Amino acid sequence: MDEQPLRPGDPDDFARLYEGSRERLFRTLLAMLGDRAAAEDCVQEAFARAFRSWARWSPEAPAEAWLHRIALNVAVSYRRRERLRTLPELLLRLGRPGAEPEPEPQGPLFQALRALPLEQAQLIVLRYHHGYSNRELAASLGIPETTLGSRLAVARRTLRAELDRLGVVTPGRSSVVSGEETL
Amino acid sequence: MKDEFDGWLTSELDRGLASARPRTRFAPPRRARRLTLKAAAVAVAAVLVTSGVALAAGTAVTGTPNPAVWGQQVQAKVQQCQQQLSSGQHGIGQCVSAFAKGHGQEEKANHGHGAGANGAGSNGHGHGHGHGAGVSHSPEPAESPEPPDSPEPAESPGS
Repeated sequence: MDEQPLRPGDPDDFARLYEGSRERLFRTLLAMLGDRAAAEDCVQEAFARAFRSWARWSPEAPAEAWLHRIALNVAVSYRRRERLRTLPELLLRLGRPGAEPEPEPQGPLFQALRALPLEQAQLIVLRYHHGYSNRELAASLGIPETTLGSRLAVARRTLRAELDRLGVVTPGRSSVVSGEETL
Repeated sequence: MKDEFDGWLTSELDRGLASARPRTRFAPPRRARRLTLKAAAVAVAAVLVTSGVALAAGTAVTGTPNPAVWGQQVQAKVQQCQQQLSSGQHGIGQCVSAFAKGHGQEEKANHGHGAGANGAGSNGHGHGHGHGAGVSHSPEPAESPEPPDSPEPAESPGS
């Protein structure tokens, strides 16, 4: 793909970045939060914040990875607010039949992802769904590649443990009984 | 090294997320706009409405309590103030504010305290036709100019 490089601070380039990455950003946030409306809100908020900082974006890291970094901060704030908001609601709902909408996307992998810390969930999605290399991720996070490697390994291990806990049979695990691996 | 689990992860993530699209098309953040004539008029009308002298001054300025008419009048005044500005004067805000204030005081003097709103014999109903574009029927803040870029700290992953 032969794309013109993005120029920090240029509003037209920001519009291009927006068009090119909003859906991918949405998918990441959806996997992390498991709530479509929340993901949409966070995408919008992330773009608004990114726009304010656009002049300070450094082209050393991919712009979309930079956006993802901002989105992570937005998602963390969102989840914090959400916890504060939902606690009284949960207390009120105690004893009533649950009318909670199913989180989406569904399936044990996404259930496991949502149990992970947001940072780890995001790393998994960026690496295995969006296909970022370790180098790109390290550059966007401003950390050495080796550090990124260990963070990713921890995220992967945690995810796998969570999948095991849910009883999901994944490649390399033929069956799991009570958290113990059997062949 | 990519193992079976990695491949499985990729395929499961792709399957679950491939069709996920945001339902709404987001409005891209806009560049901070310059204060337009219409925006200035609406902003001034909004100030009139929210301030204590709203009804009195608005009615005095325009002869009617209908906010749509205030908008037209204020818009005309803003235009006039802008022309003055281009001929060397400064401070459009002061100019418009002085205009509104002056009429407010005039109204106060004419009607004593609490000027009535029904002097024009109209409550705004039945005047819905004939207003061209740019006339706001209510002073909406949406048209007010966005503030200039705030010095927000750069996003950092650790924060």
